[in-house]
Amino acid sequence: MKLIHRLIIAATALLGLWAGLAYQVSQPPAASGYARTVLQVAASAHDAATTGVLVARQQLRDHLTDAYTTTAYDDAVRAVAGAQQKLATAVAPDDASAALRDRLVPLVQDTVRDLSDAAAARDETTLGHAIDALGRTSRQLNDLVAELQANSRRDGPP
Amino acid sequence: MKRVLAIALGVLTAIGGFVDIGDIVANAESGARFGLSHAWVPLVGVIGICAYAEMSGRVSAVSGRPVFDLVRERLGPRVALANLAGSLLVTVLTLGAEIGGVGLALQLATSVGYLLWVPVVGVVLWVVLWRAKFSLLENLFGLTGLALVVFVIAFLHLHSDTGQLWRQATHPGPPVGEDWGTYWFFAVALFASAMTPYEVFFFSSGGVEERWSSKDLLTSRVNVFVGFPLGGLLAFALMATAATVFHPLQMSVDSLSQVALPAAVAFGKLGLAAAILGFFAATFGAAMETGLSSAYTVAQYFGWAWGKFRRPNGAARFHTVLMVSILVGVAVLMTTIDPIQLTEYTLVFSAVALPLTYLPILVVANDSGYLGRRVNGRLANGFGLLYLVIVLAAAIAAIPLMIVTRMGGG
Repeated sequence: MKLIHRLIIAATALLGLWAGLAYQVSQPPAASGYARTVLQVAASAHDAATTGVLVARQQLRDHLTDAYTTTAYDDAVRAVAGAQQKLATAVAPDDASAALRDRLVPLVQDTVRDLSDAAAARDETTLGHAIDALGRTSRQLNDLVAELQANSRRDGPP
Repeated sequence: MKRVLAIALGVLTAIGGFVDIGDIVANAESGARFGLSHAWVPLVGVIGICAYAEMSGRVSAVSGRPVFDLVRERLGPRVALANLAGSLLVTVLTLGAEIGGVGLALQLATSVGYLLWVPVVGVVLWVVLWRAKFSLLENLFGLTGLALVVFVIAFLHLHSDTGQLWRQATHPGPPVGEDWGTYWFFAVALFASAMTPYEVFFFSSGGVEERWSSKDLLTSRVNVFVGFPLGGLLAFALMATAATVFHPLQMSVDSLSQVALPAAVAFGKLGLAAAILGFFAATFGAAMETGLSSAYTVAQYFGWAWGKFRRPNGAARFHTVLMVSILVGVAVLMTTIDPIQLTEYTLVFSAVALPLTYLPILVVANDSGYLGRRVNGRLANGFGLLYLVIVLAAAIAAIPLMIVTRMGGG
């Protein structure tokens, strides 16, 4: 086979791949795809809130250094911020999806607020309150994640 | 007595030097999400790396030449180029991930953002690789990496639910909320983290750096068969502690600060300090190994003078490749890609490149022209072929699993 033929085949394959990718990303989001995004965001927020609880408990026991604590809260807040951004850029395709989003958004906001409170706490009482709040948010997010996973199993993979 | 001490030092170095950012990330993520249900994977990976590292060490000790040098001579420049391209890409990306890991470890110790540390780490790495002796580098960071033993002790101290962990380990499969695709994606990543290509190139070139001969076969084998499995135990301890602390809370781990937490839970600030020191030593040591491996493979392919045993001006092109590799690693991180994410990608690409690395080693280890009567026996060939099938399966599955599971996101 001549070099020009090989180049044409390679270019056609590349063009096909590019067209397929363009078609894929320009598709409007399906409800199942949106539900998956909501599940991922809820799971990220849950992980961050639970990490916050673990870190704050160790802080109370004087088991952590200041530098580590600052980094751990920063990492958790950054993870939630990334999840928030992901949710903000996804468009809810129908009312049911929008309702799902409306349940999740306050919990994500609570997570950020509770993590910030824990990071800023200067005494044991404030830190204790932050742990309680983070624990509550974590449990609510855990319930939501479980519910979304059950829905996903019932409806099948998207 | 001196020889026994040298062997003991080699083993300790091999233990501490086994773990890198890929092991840290893959084991902790797997432990948090899947408990110990991936416990079989590090075991399979460690046996595989032992089989091929033994071959590489034997080839270097008997022939006095590194494996990559022989691959080019034995299989020709085309096959060696495919090997070089695959392993170099993965090794340079791994170097970037390791430098990022050093930055993250320093961030844990100082709370200064890791991106500010990355250029500093790049410069220090280059200066250290330029100035310091090979044996000093290997021993210092290998021994300091032993600080990760804190995770083994922490696991024993955390009063884990051993019955539950045993059940997870003996019943492989995804827990509730996870699927088989994600389970296998993590299995491939864990396997790749244990069998990273740079390890064999570094081991084999390191043997030449230390002027191994046939007399050093025992040292090489003890390092491999004692040091590597014990090093694998350190990596497994990261999985076990994550399975103990995070898995019951049904959470995943995506930062180095989370990975260190079990050590703090068990031993407070002292445990935390040991964990951070261990992360620093493991990632900095691996950054040196990956930097050197990049330069070794390129220099050996083109037949340039190479090695730390030469003065830098006697191996100028080798040191240039080393410097460029570090610059590329730093540049990748300066795109602000998350080092943990970079590590995850590196593991996937590493899995794809595995057959390109290990098939040529098996061929060379069977060539009596280089090894005389020290060619592979039946057992070595049996393991070699078996693992070739496994790495081929991992290589084929890696990319589809990455796409289907969205990098393990499910």
